[in-house]
Amino acid sequence: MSIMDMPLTELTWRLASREITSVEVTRAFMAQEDSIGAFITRCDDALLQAERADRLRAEGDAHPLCGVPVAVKDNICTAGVRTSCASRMLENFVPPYNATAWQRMQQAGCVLLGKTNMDEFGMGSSTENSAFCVTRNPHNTGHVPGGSSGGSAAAVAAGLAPAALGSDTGGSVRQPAAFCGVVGMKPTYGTVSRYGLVAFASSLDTIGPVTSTVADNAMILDVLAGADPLDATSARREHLPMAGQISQGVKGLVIGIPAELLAEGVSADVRHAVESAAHALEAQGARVEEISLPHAQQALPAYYVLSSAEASSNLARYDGVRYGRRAKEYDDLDDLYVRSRSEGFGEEVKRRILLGTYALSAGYYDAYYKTAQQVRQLVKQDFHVAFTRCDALLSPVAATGAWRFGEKTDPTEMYMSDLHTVPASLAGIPALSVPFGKDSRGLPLGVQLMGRPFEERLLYRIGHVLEVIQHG
Amino acid sequence: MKIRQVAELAKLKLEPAQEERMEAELGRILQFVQQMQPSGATPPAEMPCGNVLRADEVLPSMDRETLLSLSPARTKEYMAVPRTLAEEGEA
Amino acid sequence: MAEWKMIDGYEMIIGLEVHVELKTRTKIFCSCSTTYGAAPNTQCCPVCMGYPGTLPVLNGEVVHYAALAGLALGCDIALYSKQDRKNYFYPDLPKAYQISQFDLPLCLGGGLDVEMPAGVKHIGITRIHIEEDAGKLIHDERGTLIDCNRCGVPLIEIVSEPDIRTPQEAAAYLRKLRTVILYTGVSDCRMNEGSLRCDVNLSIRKPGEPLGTRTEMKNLNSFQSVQRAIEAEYIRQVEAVRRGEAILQETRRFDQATGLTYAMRRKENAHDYRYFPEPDLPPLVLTSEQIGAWRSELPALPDERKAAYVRDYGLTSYAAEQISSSKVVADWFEEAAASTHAVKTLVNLMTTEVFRLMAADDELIPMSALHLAKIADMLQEGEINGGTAKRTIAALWLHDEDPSAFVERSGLKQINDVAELTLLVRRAIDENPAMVEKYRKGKETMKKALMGAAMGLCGGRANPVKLQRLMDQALDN
Repeated sequence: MSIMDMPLTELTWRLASREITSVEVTRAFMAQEDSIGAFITRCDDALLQAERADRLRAEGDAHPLCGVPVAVKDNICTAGVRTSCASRMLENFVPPYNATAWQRMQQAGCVLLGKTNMDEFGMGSSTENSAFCVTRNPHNTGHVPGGSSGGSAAAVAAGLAPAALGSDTGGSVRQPAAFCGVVGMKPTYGTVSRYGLVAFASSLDTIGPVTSTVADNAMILDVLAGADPLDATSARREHLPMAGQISQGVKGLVIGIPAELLAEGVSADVRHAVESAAHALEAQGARVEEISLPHAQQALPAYYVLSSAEASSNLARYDGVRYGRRAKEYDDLDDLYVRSRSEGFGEEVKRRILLGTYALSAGYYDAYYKTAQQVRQLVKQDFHVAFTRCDALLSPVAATGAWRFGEKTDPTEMYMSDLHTVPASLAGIPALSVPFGKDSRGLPLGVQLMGRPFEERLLYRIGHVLEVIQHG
Repeated sequence: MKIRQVAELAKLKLEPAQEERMEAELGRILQFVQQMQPSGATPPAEMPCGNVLRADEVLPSMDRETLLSLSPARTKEYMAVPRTLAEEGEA
Repeated sequence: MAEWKMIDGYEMIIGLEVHVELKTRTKIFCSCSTTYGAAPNTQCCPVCMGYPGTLPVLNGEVVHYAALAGLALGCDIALYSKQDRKNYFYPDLPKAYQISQFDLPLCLGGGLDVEMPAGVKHIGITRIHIEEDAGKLIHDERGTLIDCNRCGVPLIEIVSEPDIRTPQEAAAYLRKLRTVILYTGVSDCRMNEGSLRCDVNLSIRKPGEPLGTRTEMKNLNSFQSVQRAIEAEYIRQVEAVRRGEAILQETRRFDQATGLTYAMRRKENAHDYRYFPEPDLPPLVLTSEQIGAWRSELPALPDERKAAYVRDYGLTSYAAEQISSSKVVADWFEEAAASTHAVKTLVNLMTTEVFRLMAADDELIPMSALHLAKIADMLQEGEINGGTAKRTIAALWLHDEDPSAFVERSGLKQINDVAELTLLVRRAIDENPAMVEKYRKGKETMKKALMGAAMGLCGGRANPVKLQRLMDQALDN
C-alpha cells in the first residue's frame, strides 16, 4: 500500500514504529501534483516542519499524530501562512496568530501541507465561488467537489493529504465530503474552538475534520475538541477521547429517518442510498423508524436569514483600513470603504451581505431575523423530541450527488442544495457525512448521521458500521 | 427599501447591470424566505449554564511593527485614512 | 451662577447619557492593558484590532464594576442580560460594530437626589449598560491617523430619564454622578482624559404640552461645556420655534469657540445600526447571591454620610455636603473625627484651613488625618492658639510630621503662664506710650493694637484669652 492510500490509523502506526518518517510521508504528499486545484497555497516549508516532527518523535513521548501532514481550509488562520478565505479581500493576509484548532494540531506535531480552496468566506456549495481557482471533483473532473470546503474534501479524496480541516456553517464539510466520497464531521457547536476561524456566521460556524475513514476522523477530532479560553462559545466540558472507541456496533440502537428529509426533490439514487444504509443498520441489529421533524422545511429559509445577517456584520470589518485589500484610488473615506469592499468581495458574498443587511435593517428585523430565530428554536425542539425516541437520525447529505460545473447558476437553486444539512446546523447538533453508495453517473454519495449534542462518538460508531458494510 | 439603500448601508456599490440582476435575485430569495411561519409557542432559548468570563490580567499586546505592516497605509506609528471630518463619528 | 430663566414660557427637557470609563486593568474583551497615555498603537492585539477569526471574551471585572456603579446609583442588576452588536462604519471602530447592550442592559432603574437652591430634586436613571470604547482619531492636514489603544476600553453608559429642566440641574446631576462613581472606585472620572463624557438630549415645550423633537449633542467633556451647550441649544430651539421652523431630530456639535451648536452632516440611513444579539458572547446570568455580595462591597455613599455628619457631629448641611462630596475627603475626615474629642474644632479647621489648601492642591490631602485631630486637641486644650493651628496645618501640608514636634521645634507652644503674659502686657504698654495715651482719651481700637503688639513680642504664641484679660486689667484698672 502506498503512503497516499494509507488511512491515518495506518500512517500513525507506521510513524510510531519508526517504519517511516514524517519527512518521507510529507515528501510523498508534496510530490503529488495538484491537478484538481485543491490548494490555494502549498507550504514550501513542509519538509522543515516534518524534520522537526521527526526530531520530536525521536525525543520520545510524541503525540500519535506527530509527523502527520494535513491540509487546512483557507479560512482557518495559520500564523505566518497566508489565510485568504479564497477572497481578493484577504489575498495577501498573513495572520500573526494561529486558530486554536490548528494550534492544537501543530502542538501535536502535525505538518501543514497547505491551505485548501473554498467558496469565498465559506459562502457556497460548490467551491465555484473561490476568487482564485477552480477545484474539480477527483472522481470526475467535470463535476464540482461540493462546498464550501471543496478543496479539503477533494485533497483527501485525491490523495493529496491524508486528512484535512474544513469548516461547516450549513453543510460545508458534510456536503463536499459526500460529493468526494470521504468522511466529514460537523461536530456539536462549541466542541471545537472557533478562535481563528474566519467568521461567516458565528452562531453556526464549526470546524470539522475531513478524512478517508471514520476512525481517522475520530482521531483528528480528538485533537481539535475541548474548551478554549479564547472562545466564549466553546463548550466548557471535558472531551473524552473517541479514537479506538467506535467499533461497538449498532445493536439495540434506535435510528430515526426524518420523513421531511426524504420528501420530494431527493433523487432516486440518494433515496436508494439512504434506504440501503437503513437496511444495513437494521441487519446489524439497529431498529430503524420513520420520524418527523415538522419544522425541517423551514430550516433552510431561517438558515439563510440568520447566516446572512451575521455575515453582513462579520464581514463589515473588511474595510481596507487596518489590513486586507484597499482600493488603489479613492476620493474620500466613504469612497475608500465602498471601492475596497466592492472590489474585494465576489458576487455571492455581496449577495449575502445585502440579504443580511436587509434582514437586520430598521423595519424588517422582526419579519426576518426574529422570525428566523423562532424557527431555529422550533427546529431545535424538533430534534429534542426526536432524540427522546431515537439515538441518532439518518438522512441524505444532499438531494443529489455532485453536479456538473455550470449546472446550477441561480442562487436560490444553489441555496436549495443545503436543505438536508442546515437543520443540524441550526440545532447545533453533531452530524457526520459517511460515503455510502454511488449515483447513476458513478459518483460517490454519502449519508448523514445526526446525533444528540456531544454524542459524536455514537455517530462514529454507526458510521464505522456503514463503512465496514461498504468496504467489507 | 431599495437595493441601493441596502448597498449603501453595507458600503457596497453595484454596477447598474449587477444591481438589476441582484435586485431580482434578492427578490426571489426574500420570497423564498417568507415561507417561514413559526407556528405555535416558540420555546425559549435555553439558559446558559454559568458565565464565560475572563480574569482581569494583562497579557502582552502585539508588536506595533507587525500591526502597522498589516495596514494598507500608515503614517509613522499610525494607520492612516483620508482626512475625515470629526463630525461623522459615533460612540 | 444664576438660576435659569425660561424664555417665552418654554421649558427645556433634558436627558443625559454619560459614558464612564471603568478602570479595569485590561480591556473589555481582550487582555491588552488600558493604561492611559501609552505610545500609539502599543496596546492592541488581534482581538481589539478585529483581525479575522478573533473572538471577544468578556472581562469579569467589567461586569463587577458596572454592577457596583449600578448598585450605587440605586439600579436593579439584571439577572439575565445580553450583549448586542451596533453596526456602523468608522475608522475608529475596528470590527465595524460596537459590542454594546441593546434591549437587555445590565442595570435598570435607579436615580440620584441632587441638592438645588430650591430643594432636593430627584433625577431618574433609566439604565446602565456595558460597552467598548472606540479608538482615537488624529486629524491633520494630510489625513486622519488612527490610534487603536482605546479600542475596547470598557465603558458604562448611564442613561438618565428626561427629568432635567435647567443647565444647573444638569451640572448638579453630573457632579453628583461623578461623586458617587468615585465613591465606588470603579472609575477615575477624569473628564480631561475622556474617562467621563457626556451626551445631552434636549427638547423644548410649554409646560403641559407634548414633548418637542429632541436634538443630541455628543461628547461634551467638561461640566462647563455641558452647561454652555445646553444654554446655546435651548436658545437656538426657542428662536427656531418662534420663527415657525421645525426642530429636526439630529446630532449637533457644540463649538467651544463660538458657543453655538451646529448640525452634523449625516447620511440618511446612517442611524440604522442593525442591532442584533452578539453571537460570540453567551448571555450574562447573575445570581441574587452574587449581586448581594457586590452590594456589601459598597462603601457608605455620600447621601448617607452627609446625614450622619449632620446628625452625629452637628455639622451644617452645607459643611456636611462639602465633606461628603469626595470619598477621599470623607474618609480622611472620619479618621480624624474618630481620634479627637474636639470634633467642633476639627470641623472648623477642616472647613476653613483644609478646604482652602485643598482647593489649591487638586483635592489631595498630603497630611495625616490623625495629625489634624491632634492639632484640634491641642487647640482645644489651649496648648496652641488659632493662629498657630493655622500655621501648623500649612507647614504639615508641605511636610507632614507630628504637630507637637513641629510646634515644639518652632517654639510655637502657647504661653499660658500669667507671669510671662503679664510681662508681655507690660512691655507692650511701655513701648507704645502713644497708643496708651490715645486709648485713655477714648480710642477703644487702641486696645486691639496693643494686644497685637503684645502678640508680636512673642511671635503670636500668647494664650489670647488670658492675654486679653491681663491687658484689660492693665489698661482699665
